[in-house]
Amino acid sequence: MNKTAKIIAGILIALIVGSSIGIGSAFAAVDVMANRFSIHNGPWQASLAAGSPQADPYTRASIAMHYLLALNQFEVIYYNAYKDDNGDPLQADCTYRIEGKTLDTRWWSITAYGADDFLIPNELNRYSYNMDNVKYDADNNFVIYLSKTPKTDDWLPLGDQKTFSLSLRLYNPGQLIRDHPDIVELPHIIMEGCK
Amino acid sequence: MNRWLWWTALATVAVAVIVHFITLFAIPIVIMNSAMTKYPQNVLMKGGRTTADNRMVVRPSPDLVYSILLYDVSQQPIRFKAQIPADTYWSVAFYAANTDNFFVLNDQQVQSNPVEILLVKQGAAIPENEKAQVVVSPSDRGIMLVRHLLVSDDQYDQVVKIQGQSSIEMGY
Repeated sequence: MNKTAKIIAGILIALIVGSSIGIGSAFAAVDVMANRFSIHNGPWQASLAAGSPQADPYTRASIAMHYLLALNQFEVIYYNAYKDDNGDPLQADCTYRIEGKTLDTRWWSITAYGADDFLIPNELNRYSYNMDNVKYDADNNFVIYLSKTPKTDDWLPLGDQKTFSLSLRLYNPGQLIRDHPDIVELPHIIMEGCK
Repeated sequence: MNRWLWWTALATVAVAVIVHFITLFAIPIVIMNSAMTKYPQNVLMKGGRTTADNRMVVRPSPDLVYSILLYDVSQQPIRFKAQIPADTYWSVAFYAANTDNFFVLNDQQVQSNPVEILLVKQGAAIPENEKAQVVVSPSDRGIMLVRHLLVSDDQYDQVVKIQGQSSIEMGY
């Protein structure tokens, strides 16, 4: 190979291989880096920079991919869970219960999403529970079940999904939650068993 | 040969780093542009119940009734008017073309009911006697999203009635 051919070959290799690595590494890094910049509280994680002009590029890309049109943290804090209290990935073939108490926020809701980040189709058109329609016991605790098979109590159907995730939305959260989003008590996600 | 390999490897790394960051900055813009082509521009679209059939934006909230406006204020401003429901969460949020939530106003922050907002591009002249709240969009195009909280199914008709009273007008 003469010198010119070697230079052209080098440039082509650099462009093709470099571009592939650059694009692949960007997508691979988005969720890893955004997760690193998120706060964690038990199985829940939240990016307090969601919707903010101050968000770093990784968070901004992750928000666009998974939480497009999210509100800023003063309006809503979005906690998301992809794992249970034991750190195991949420599997739709398992039964889970969410245990919690009412939260220091103007309004809250818990929603289940499929692997595609959309609501899980089901005959009841039931996708979430919130502070107004969940049942509380005498001590102000609530329990929500998640499974494919129906439950008589508060129950979110998991449809025909393989995996799923949860979003806990806190509208106009109280000062305590805004000051300590990583340590305030949030609902527990407890796996009861799998098929 | 060793020198050629060295320069090729160095160029590959340089291209990879540049493309990595270009991709990173392009992701939100491409996704927003994709979202902004799903409905006609400068038309206030009023949605109903949020179900599994709603697939425009990921992770929609089933507890909200949304109205969405894909705006372009490059030629003229947009005036938004809305009735605010009593004792339940309502908000209007504006998103720039790069996904920034640059302005949000909720039912507890509004100064008047109905609320009136004038959305303008950067550098636009504002009439001296303008009474509406003026919001300056950092990009000519973007998305306005109105959220009506639906606490229970019983409230649906009332929420839709209030949602129906919101409107937009082009120009001052």
